[in-house]
Amino acid sequence: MSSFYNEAKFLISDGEQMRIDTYAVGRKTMQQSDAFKGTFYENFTLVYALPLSNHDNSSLMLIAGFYALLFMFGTCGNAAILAVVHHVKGQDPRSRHNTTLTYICILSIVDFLSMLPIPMTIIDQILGFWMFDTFACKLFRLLEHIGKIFSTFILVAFSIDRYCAVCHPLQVRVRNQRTVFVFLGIMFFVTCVMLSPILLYAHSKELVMHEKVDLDQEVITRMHLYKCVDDLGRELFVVFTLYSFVLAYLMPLLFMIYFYYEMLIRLFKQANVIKQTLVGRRSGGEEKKLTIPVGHIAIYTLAICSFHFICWTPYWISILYSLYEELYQDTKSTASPPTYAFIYFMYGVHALPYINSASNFILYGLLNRQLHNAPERKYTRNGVGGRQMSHALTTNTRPEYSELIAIPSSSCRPDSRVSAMIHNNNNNTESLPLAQNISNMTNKDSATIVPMPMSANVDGNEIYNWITPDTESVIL
Amino acid sequence: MSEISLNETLQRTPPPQQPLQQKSLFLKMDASTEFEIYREHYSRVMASINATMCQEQPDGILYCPNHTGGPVWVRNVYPPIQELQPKVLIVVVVFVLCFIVGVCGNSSIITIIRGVVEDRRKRMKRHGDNAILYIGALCVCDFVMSLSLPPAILDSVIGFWIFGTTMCKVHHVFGSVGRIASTFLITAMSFDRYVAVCYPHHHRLRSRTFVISTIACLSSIAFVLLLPMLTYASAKEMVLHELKAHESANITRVRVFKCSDMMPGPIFYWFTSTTFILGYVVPLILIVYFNLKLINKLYAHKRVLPRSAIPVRRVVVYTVLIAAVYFVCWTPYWFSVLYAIIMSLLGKPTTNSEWVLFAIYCVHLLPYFGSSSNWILYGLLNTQLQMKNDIGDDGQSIMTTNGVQDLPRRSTSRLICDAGATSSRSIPTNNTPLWQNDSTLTRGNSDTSMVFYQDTEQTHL
Repeated sequence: MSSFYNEAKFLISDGEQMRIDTYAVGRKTMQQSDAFKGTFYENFTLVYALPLSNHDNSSLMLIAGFYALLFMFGTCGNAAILAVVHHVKGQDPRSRHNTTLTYICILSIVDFLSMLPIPMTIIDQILGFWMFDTFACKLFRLLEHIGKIFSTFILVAFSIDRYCAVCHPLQVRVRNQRTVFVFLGIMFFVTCVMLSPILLYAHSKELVMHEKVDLDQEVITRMHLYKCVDDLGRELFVVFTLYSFVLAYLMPLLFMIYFYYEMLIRLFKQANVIKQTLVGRRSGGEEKKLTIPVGHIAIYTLAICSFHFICWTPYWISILYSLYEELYQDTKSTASPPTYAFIYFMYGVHALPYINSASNFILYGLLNRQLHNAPERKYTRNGVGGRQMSHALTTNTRPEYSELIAIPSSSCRPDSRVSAMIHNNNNNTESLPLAQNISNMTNKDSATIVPMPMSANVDGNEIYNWITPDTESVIL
Repeated sequence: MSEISLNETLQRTPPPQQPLQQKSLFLKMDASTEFEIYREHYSRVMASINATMCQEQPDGILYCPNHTGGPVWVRNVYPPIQELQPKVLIVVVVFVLCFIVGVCGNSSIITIIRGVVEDRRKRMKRHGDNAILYIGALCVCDFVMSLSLPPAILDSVIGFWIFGTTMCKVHHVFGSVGRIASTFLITAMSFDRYVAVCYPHHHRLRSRTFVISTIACLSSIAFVLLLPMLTYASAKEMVLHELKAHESANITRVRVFKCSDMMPGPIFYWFTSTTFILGYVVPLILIVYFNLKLINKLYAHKRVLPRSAIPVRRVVVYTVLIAAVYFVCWTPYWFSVLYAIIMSLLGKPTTNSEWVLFAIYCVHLLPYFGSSSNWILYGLLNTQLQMKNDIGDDGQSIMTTNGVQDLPRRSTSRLICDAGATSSRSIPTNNTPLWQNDSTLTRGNSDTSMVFYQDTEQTHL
């Protein structure tokens, strides 16, 4: 009679990890199976049982705890960023058309969705088997992979957005809201196409781990469990893995490196030109205020690329390694079971993408000064309004415009300085007139033909053309 | 042991799902009621091994040398996992939704409040509505209460407690925060709103010091009330079966753990009574009283000044909604708790109806539902979070208007230098200051009504 509570050690394989666990077989259901009709076991009772959970394993509990912290951090952080962005857009009407904030919103939503399957992962780890059904399995895989593909695409679009803001500030059409949403829609469609094999084939698969026959009692005991598996065929698995690696990891990484590199090169050039312009005209103190913080931007950009690389490279290396194992599995007739250290290492490697999704809001949201500039901008405007518009105050708040004011000093009376500043302020909020655009282009051509003269007759439009509001918005 | 006895024992295995759920429903019942429930489904006669006398071997097996009939080796195992029943699945899904909405919503409101407070500090505005501190504290309490949901979810999915005694204490304390501290803060907010409308000149009752002191005092009272839970809660071991292999000294012991408060009878009754009175009855009475006073005051004000800008209907709907949500979430819960206590006192058996147990399970979901939606009522729908910014915007626009007042002369002088390209822009600019000036003059009718108007305006939610 004690056979109903036997214990056995099984080597469990769930596609990505190997695990050795002890199971106690218990009674679950009794049914007459037609599979044995006509055989010796025709009159036997078939008993199914689910395995015992492996929550006594403290290491697995630690891993589950870590995943739980990751889930809390990711969901709360992304939700908080969404709340802050919504708050900022409510306060400052100008920020409603900011494409950077739009990308941050979509990124937070996608990362939030990619956090939702973590509870299922935790229960799967604690119990050791999948206790939900096929629909939950498909949903689980969909949410899990969206974070890996669509989120990466958004990061690339984000880098393109910044590249255009710095290198092509006058091409306004590239960075308006409609283009952004069209771009996001296309990327989402590509993501769905890439994930369609997963959605089609993912299901909750029953695995019979152990079967015992009791001749005296005429009972067959089966210990079975369910696993959420992709169950792609061999060739389809290879194809899926390879194009996922190329399209969702390799190309995005190269694109990010290229666009951020171009952006930094451009910013360095601008910073050098501005420094040369200011050498013979201003003291050192004011020179620092006008310099673009290229170092700060460079560190920020390197942090973004390095973080992405660190989180995704080990994951994809492990995927390719399992692909290699899949391809050359026949040649290794006697594969030894993996050690516990290897299993836990794989757990850590597969947690890295979740760490990336849980932390994206820090790099792209929390450290982004645009979310903090909104209140400060209001305060600055309040300061300007509260005091008289003295020349010194104007210089402190808008250093680059004092340069414009100083240029036409001989053509008008002293009052015209303030009116010139107001004129440029109007240009900030409205699109440039066509004549202004043509004159800017003409000045650009003249600048390329003749080197920048180091004289007092520096054309203000050249400086204005470089330090545009779009460029300012990228200075984090 | 005879085979007949083993057969009967094994046949009783299928029902354990129901008493496990039943046990988790009545977390506040005492040991005698527990015995009442378990006696019908389990054989406690076989629980003859005193686990405290055993020594643990390196491989996890217990060696019990003093057992009757000779030394035995005992292996402790857990029962197999049962598949989710549809009703349990519904409860689990609701738990998960409450957890996600509660955790994310509260953290979002806390983030916004932190931004608003920082923004206020930058503007050197020290005199402002301090009710926002109550909202922040309430979001923290609800966040902490939501943290007790994951263990409850796993307890429902797996069927027994797997986290040990320390986590059991933390789970109970976090789960009880909503019953005391959160309720206290809701009551304090009702008082704050009542003072703002009925006694607008009593600034001391709404000062920052008073608000912070109130929050600290209520937190201390809540902590003292929760001390019995923190002291006695533990993971209790329940033995389901002991199976002895034939002609062997090996025993397999199937047992589970349940996270229970484990309070002695008198302490349990005292704890439940104080929690019920101070955590439910008194707050309910105070909330109803303060809000009725507030509504009466607003209606009186409406009668005196029919054209007042105060949206009385919206305030009334909001206030009634607050009281109604509190009542709906907590009254069924407390009724079920009192019902269980009375049944245990009278010695009557509790109901075995499956649907009644499911209903009681849903009733115990209501406090979590209230906790996860408090941030909607008090945070998201609260226009104070936006009105502060609106007032700031108005202030800034006034300052900008003052700045614009100087522009016409400069623009006029600019016409001399340029060909008059911006002459069409200066005309609309001239119109704006006059309108702003008119509204400013309208607002400054009298100081007395201005003070009352501003204080009441901040309560409009």
